[in-house]
Amino acid sequence: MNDPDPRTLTRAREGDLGAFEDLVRQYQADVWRFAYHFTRDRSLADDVTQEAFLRAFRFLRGFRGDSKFTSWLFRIARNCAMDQIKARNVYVERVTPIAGTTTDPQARVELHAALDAVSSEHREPFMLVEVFGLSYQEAADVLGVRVGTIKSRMHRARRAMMDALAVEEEAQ
Amino acid sequence: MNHEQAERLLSARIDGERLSTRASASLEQHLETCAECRVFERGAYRLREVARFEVAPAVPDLVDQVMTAVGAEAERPRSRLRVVRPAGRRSILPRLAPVAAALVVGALIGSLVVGGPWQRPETGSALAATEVTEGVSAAAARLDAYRATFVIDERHLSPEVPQRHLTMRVWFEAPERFRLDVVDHTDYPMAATPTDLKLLVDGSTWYAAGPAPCPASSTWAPPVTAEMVPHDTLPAHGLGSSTLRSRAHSAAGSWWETVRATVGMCTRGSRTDAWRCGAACWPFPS
Repeated sequence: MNDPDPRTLTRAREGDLGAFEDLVRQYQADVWRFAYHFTRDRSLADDVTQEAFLRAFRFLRGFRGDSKFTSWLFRIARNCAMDQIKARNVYVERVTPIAGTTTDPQARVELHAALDAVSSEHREPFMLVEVFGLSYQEAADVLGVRVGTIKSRMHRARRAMMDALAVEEEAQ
Repeated sequence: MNHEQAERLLSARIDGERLSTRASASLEQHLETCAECRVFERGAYRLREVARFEVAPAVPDLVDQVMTAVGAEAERPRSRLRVVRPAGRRSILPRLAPVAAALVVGALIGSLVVGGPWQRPETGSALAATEVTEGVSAAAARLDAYRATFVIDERHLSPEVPQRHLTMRVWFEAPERFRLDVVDHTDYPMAATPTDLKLLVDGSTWYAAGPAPCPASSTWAPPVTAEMVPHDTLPAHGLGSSTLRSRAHSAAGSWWETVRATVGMCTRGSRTDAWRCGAACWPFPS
């Protein structure tokens, strides 16, 4: 995922609302998808997206560029998602299948069965790396963990998901 | 190297993480004798395929909603923010996003991949899958027309298909006209359907053809047969050109290797000329 034009980012940090709107326009879809993957709830994803950009706006002056802007923004979105989930007391441990979101029904069943098999601790890095295309370093920045932790969790997520799929196949 | 270590290295290698020469050699040596690890590798690619082919849900357009909240925040007394809004700029995205953008996002991601940076090895820069639709969306706010051509080489989708080669063309005309053509040039070693895709959107009317099944959704209306206009009749005259901006990406060796992108676009100032020269061959049904 690409970072914004540095000039846009600089202007946004200086309080240029037009520049910040450009950032919102550029990343709102990614933030929403991330929030949706996290919450599996469209309404919650809407709220998380708005709150994430509001917090980003408040704290943008403090963004030092230690990580990519997109990693910083995703980290804020993740925190917002956690807050929303806690506030509503609806922690989503199981992934609810969404009708019509996968081209192949069998593949959808497989994916959700596999995702159900892993904890959120392992599902998060899997989604960030495999679905959103982040590198291990970027995923580590988003989740606030070390790269080695991402590496380990990716392996464990894959192992758990494959084991779950094997069980599914045996049961059929 | 024990089996656990080998699986961890395999997992990292699948994700494009660099392994040391020594680790790579040890891993290859282990793979020659460990059938379980080879099963793990095949299973990981299968998971990737399933995860990447999930169509993204339709994304709502929240820009106005977010900016209303941000604007209220900016107007608070303690704020010293400078409000700058381009004069006369009126976003058409709210009209665009619910139908056309969602369709394009769904079609692109469903038929190609989810996420995944498209690397430009010569510059080290990358182009995200979403940048295609972002480009169209961004164009919608400022431009009357947009045209882009992408050449995509995808690596590591599966061991049997180490590389796929696709070309993708995107046209956009404000406010809700799209055409998307994806041609899969991959020479598959097994019986496989190329990921060819066509998508035309003209307001609420659309035409799509691709590797079925298409997503079942209320936003998908009955197909409308449209006469396809050959690509090479698209207007080139009157369109400015630019390259898509992209930023450096640190995931060296990741799935996407090459993107060459050329973008044609006409601004509102050149609308009349561009439309006149393009009116006869714009690739949408009238």
